[in-house]
Amino acid sequence: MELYQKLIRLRRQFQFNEILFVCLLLLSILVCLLFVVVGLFINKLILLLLIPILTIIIYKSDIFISIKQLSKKIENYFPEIKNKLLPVVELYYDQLNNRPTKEGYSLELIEAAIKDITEKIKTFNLIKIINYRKTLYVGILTLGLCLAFIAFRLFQPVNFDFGWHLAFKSKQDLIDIQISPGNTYVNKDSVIKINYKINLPVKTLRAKLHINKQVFSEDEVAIKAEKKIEYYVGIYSVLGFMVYKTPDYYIKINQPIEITDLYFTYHYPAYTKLSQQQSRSTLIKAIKGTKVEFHGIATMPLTAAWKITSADKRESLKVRDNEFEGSFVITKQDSFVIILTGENYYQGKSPTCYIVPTVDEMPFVKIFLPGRDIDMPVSMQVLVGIYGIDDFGISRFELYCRKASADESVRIWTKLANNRLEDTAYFFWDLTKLNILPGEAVDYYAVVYDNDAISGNKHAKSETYTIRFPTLTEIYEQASQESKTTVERLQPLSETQMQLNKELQKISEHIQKYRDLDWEEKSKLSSLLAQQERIMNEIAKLQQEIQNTMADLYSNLMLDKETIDRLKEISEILSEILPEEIKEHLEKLQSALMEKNPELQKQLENFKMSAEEMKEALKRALELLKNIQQQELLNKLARKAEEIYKQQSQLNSRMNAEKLANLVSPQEQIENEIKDLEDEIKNSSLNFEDSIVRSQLAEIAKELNEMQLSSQANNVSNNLSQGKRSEAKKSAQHLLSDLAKLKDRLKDISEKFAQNKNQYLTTKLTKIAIELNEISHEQEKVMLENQQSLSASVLKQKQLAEATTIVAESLAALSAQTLLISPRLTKEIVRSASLMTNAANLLEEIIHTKSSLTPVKNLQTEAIFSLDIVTWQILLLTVKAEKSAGMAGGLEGLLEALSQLTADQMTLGQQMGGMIPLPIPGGLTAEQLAQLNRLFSLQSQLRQALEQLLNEMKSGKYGEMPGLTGSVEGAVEEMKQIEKDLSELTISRKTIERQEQVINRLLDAQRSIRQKEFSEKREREIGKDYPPPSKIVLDKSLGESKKQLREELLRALREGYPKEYEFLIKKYFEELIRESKE
Amino acid sequence: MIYYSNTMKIGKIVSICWIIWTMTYAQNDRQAIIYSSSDSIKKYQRLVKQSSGSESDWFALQNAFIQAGDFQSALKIPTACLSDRLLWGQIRVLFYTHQFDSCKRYIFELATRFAKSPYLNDALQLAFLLFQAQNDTVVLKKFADAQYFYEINKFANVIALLQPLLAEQNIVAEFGYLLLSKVFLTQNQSNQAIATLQEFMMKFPKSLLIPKAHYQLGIIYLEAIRDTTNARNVFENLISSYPESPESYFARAQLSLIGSDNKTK
Repeated sequence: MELYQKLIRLRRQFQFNEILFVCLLLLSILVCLLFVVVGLFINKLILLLLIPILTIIIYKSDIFISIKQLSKKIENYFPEIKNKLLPVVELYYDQLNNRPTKEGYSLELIEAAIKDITEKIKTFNLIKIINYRKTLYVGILTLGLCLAFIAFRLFQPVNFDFGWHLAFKSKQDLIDIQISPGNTYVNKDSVIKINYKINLPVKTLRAKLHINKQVFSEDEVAIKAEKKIEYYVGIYSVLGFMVYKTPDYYIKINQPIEITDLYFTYHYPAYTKLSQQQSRSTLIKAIKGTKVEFHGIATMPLTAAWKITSADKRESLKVRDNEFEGSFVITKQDSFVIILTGENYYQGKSPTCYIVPTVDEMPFVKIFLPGRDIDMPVSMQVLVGIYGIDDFGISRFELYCRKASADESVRIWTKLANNRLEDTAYFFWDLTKLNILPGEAVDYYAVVYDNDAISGNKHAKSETYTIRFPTLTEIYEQASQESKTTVERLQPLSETQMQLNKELQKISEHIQKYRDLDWEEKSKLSSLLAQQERIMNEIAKLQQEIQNTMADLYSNLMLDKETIDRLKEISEILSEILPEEIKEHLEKLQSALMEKNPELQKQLENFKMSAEEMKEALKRALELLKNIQQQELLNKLARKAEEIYKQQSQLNSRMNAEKLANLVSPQEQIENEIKDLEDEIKNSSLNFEDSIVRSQLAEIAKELNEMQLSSQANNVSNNLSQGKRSEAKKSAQHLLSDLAKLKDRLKDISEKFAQNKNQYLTTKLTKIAIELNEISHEQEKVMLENQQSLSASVLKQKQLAEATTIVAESLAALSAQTLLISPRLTKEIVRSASLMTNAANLLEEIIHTKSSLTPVKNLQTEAIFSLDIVTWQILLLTVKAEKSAGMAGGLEGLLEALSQLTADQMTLGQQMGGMIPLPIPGGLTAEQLAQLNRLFSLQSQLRQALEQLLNEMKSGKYGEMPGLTGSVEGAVEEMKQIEKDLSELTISRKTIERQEQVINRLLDAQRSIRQKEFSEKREREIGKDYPPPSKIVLDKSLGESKKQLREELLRALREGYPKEYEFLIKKYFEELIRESKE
Repeated sequence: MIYYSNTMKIGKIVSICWIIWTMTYAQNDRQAIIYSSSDSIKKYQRLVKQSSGSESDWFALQNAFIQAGDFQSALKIPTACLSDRLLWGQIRVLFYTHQFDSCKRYIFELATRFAKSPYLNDALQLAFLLFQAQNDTVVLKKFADAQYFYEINKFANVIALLQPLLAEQNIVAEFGYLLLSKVFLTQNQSNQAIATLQEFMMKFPKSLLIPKAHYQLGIIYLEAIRDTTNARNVFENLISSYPESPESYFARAQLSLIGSDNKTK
């Protein structure tokens, strides 16, 4: 322990000596280096040498000596304890750390060794191992050097200060130097003198002039300025090192200031949704509100820059070195230049930049549904389809209407368009709310607004269309016009056909008699054929006209079902007039006539048969059309009465609040309508073909005489004009109740007439089916009778043929009353009767000839087949007739259901539109909640109804519908989503879009069905010639072509062409518009 | 009408079965055919297997099944050998099992696939009844049962089923009367048959089947009772009352025949 303490103390002394030595050594080195830096003007960086020197010295010194190393040094110094002290120190360390010794010495032995060596050391002067002498020598050296350094300062103060400042202080003003000409611009090739004057504090220093890397000892140098010159003055020490360098100077060649780059960054207004663009064109074209930032680079550093507009308005620009920048917002057409001032005070100018604000195009809007002036449909509801397009987006649609009597247009509907570039909106317009009276009209137009937030929303107006509420007479005249026109045009054709057939008969008789035709007869036949062709063409034309009217109606969504049904019926009637083979027979006869064909007689007979058939078909068509007219007449009366009742009812309700004077004119209008109706009922009671209906109408006419409806109406008018409100109301109420009775009676008659017709038809058809079946069975019995009763069979067979003929006649009579029964069925029964007659004749022959019965049996089997097949057809017809009398079936039913669903969905959408956005801060009011609940329940009902319809479509109730169910399925899915939104009380823009999706899908489905129905109809009409369609004459109206071009322009702009082309595109279209004007 | 011709058809069926049987298998198996249903079914089933299922074998088997009242089996006919008469058999089975919609579909198939079939007029008659009485299925079911019993000659059952039907005022009742008269006629109860027809004519004077009932009545007088005077009266009455009906023409033929017979006598 004692030994250890001793060693510790010794080590401390040892270390102190080492540290002192190192410090003194370093100090002496530092002083040496300072001598070099200050005295020889060497760069002060040389002092950094101290770092490695310090590292080496510390590394080599014994500053961090350990006890063991110290023990070893002691052992080396005192050979007596060689190899003794160090083991003892190690043993001591092991003991201290409770580590067993390697050799396994006992504790006693260790202690004994320690004791032994401790004793020995006591005798040594351990301090001797510390080398104080080296420390002393270094101390003396250091002291000497420091004294020398101080002496240098004292005896050479100028040199010392210059060296010291050069090394450690600011060099500014250290040397007094004047350099000419400094930084300057000179003209090219001019000779310039570069000189300097210097006052050096140290005589040993030398100055030299550096020009473009060349060194000149002279203090003035003349040089030719061919290019940029750079120069400075360097100060060199006696050792030849550059100890000081003046700043760099340049002499540049004078040249005009130029802009090497200038680009513009366009930041378009946010509403355009356009991303920023860069352009280097000085023609700055962008829409108003665009912020344009420009950035330029000049050929020399700039001191200032300005933007000067055409109105001489100056605006300072930011300048940095040789760059400049600025910005402006496009508001109007303008131009500007940029003026730059360079550091040589020369000025430069940019080319003129032109600002051309481009136009945010006006939006375009058109009403594509109905897209024309129309008469008010029977439903008094019109689907208005509006299409809008804009180059940057549409903000909203509006629909305005103006009654003829009103001064100003009224906005009736608004729809937000969510900034879409192109959008379509539908509005289901219920015109009943407008209280339009017959004869009045309402003008309407759509307005679309763009989303221009800078210049304000620009708007465009569509064409103005008119919905006219025709008078009752007009409505019903128009409704029955088609059948009336058809009858009027068919009647003379039928007569001509009859005449033609007579003439044909004469020629036929002539040819039978003389076997040939003379020139006169031939030319007569030729003329007859031409006449026949004209009749055929006329019928085809008539049919085409009906088809066109139907196509026109089909292209609209809101059509009058009754008109369509009637047109369909007329079209079917017309399609059955022309016999399939008449054209072929006509052509063959014509060619036989030209070529003097020996088969002329045969061809003539064939043609005569076809012509005869056509004559019958014409007669039948006229019969059928008359039937239609009868039904139309009754419908017309019933509906007219109902309309008058409605008008009177409306007028009565207005009597409470409105000025009575305003009601006089409508009341007079009603009075006139009543008079017209009374006249028509009287006329019909005299002329109606059906006796029962005629007597019923006569009865009504009699009652009308008693009721004095027109007088009552007149009385109401008088009361109104005299301002007697209570009297007017009383008399009007009385009139209304009488009108109610009248309309009910007429409706009843009309419905019963249709019902009776159907019932009569069904009963008749059933009877014929039973009769035919009975004949078939009877024929079978006759066929099975044995050969012994052949004469009885003949008799029975003849009677069967007669019975069949009778049935054929009753079927033919029936077919003139309904389109359901095709004349082909009658033909088939006639064929059966003819087979039976042949069979009877053959049987008679067989009685005499005793030949085989097989040919007879064949004829009889064939007759049965004909009877059975007709029976089957009639049976199917019966079922069809019953169905058509009942609920609406087929595609029409589907269409009706879809149309109703669409209308309901639109109404729902309009209500929903008024509630966005939901949720609203602060929660919903009880009223809003109730409304949402109602909407939810309505939407749910609509979805269920559509699902049911979808199931029916899938089950094939409406026939094959490829692709259609998909559309409806999509609508169902969207409806479910809307329900979800409503149940979660979140009505967003998305919900409204879904809503529109549903409507679009439903409308698509309706269009598909109409197309399907119409194309099916067209497909059925084959094998007939139609006159070539008239040449299409393009509308030369200027306004229309301008609109079309405008629409095309907007469409082109949204195609995404590069910006630079847009101008050209616009230019192109403007040119087109201009040309169209010219 | 339907009952009358059905009897005829059954007659045709039985005779065809017999001819087929005797021609094809008589030399192999000359055992007497036992007309107990189960025995005949087994027999025909064996034959169907032996002859690997020809149409005639199936036809015989189908009739055996119908006779035995095994309608499910009667419907199982391989499509490959489906003929008009087998289809007609299926139509009848469907009618007897009250599957009226399927019955209509099968009639439609018969009319389209076998337009020249001699069974078509019977099928059409059935179709007419089905279309007319489609809303009255309860009554129609009873009528179908009666029709089945008529086919298998269980006349007592037919009468029991028809009696309550006749009280109705519908097309099925009209057909019921005609069937009942047929049953009485088959049982040689001509007077009962006449009374039934007369009751029908009184109860349904506006029925479309009246001319037919008149004609049937005349035929009963003529063929069953051989009372030409009454027959003549009936036919003359028919001609004067329903001159446009086919039956009036049949009646004319019958009157001519009666006249010529009298002359011959």
